[in-house]
Amino acid sequence: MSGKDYRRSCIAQWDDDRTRPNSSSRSSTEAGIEAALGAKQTRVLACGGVLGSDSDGDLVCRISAHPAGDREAETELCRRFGPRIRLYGLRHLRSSDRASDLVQAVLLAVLTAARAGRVTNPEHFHRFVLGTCRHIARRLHQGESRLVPVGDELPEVPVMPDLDRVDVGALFRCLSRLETRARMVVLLSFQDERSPREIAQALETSLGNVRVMRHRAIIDLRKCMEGEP
Amino acid sequence: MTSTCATPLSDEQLIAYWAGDLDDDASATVEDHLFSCLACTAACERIAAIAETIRELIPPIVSRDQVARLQAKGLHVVENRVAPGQRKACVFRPGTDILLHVLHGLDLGRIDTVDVIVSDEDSGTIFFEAQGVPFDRASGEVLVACQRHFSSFPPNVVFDVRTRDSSGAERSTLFAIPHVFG
Repeated sequence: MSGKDYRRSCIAQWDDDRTRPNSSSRSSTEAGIEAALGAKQTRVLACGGVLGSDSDGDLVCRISAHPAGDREAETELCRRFGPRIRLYGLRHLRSSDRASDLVQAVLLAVLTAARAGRVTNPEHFHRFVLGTCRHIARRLHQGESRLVPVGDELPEVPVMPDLDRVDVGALFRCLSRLETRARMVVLLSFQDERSPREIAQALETSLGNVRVMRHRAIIDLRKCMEGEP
Repeated sequence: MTSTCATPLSDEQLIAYWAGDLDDDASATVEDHLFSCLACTAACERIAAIAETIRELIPPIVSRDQVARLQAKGLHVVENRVAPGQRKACVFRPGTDILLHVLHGLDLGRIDTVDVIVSDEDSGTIFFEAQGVPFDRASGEVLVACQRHFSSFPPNVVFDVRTRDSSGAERSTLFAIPHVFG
């Protein structure tokens, strides 16, 4: 994308020592996340050099370089990270609605940080997003319900993975084709959220065998769902 | 962030991750990789789609408590009572979330386990077997939660309720329910 080379690199750094973490136990990532979620920060943004592709860092730089933000770059970051934030939310929050809340809250936080030049290491932006995910998911676990302030806006982009497109009838048919014990392992693992040790006890088999059955069953289901024999 | 991956996460890792079967460090390693890798994110989405849909599936055989929880979540449940040996057609009408076949009149007082085999009345093809299903000894009921996505099965369905008591004696009771999905 030579036409879109951006003659800049970004080094955003904290210049307000008062807002730096005092405790040595807090990582710089945690401090950055907390700042992104609301602390007042000022910043120094230095741009120079050549970046030859639209890396995450490039996009963060573009956003930082425009006081009003860069809609195109923000949309691209949302497109890249929305699905994986949602996956993280589904895995940790076990709720589609809460996962959607997490997507909104995390994207808003990281874009706000990018707009303000508060992303300390743009080339490792994914780490900042993941850290923000963990931070906000913890807050959701602790019972906070409102994480996206009313009035804040995100670009309208598709951020949902294909989970909603699963043919439930087909999945049910594929499940019914599994060998009985394999089906039980799958249902006990994902519906009842039983540990492999509990499943091994229930089925009177080894822990290793439960893991092998679970793995093979999911692969068989995936093949069945994709129309393979 | 790349669309191909030189060191992709294995299916085993991704399945274990979704099953909650990784310790904190291993889980964090998977997440670190996923957040920097489009290819592995796509692979993870395919497994997540299956795992999360299974997690949200409503079991075909349910207890009264489960029915109450589904109703509390706002699902519209319509009951269809069927007696042993009866052949009773039903219509799954628009707006219905669950058509609850109440297979009643069963003598379950001394029963230890109940299995339900669901098959095509015409061909005898078994759709699925549900083992160790919930049942109500006092009311003599087994509850089948018929869901709209079951419309992909042939319409003439037979439920074979197989009971087993403590002596090991087994008994089979048939309920034939032709379905029309409106």
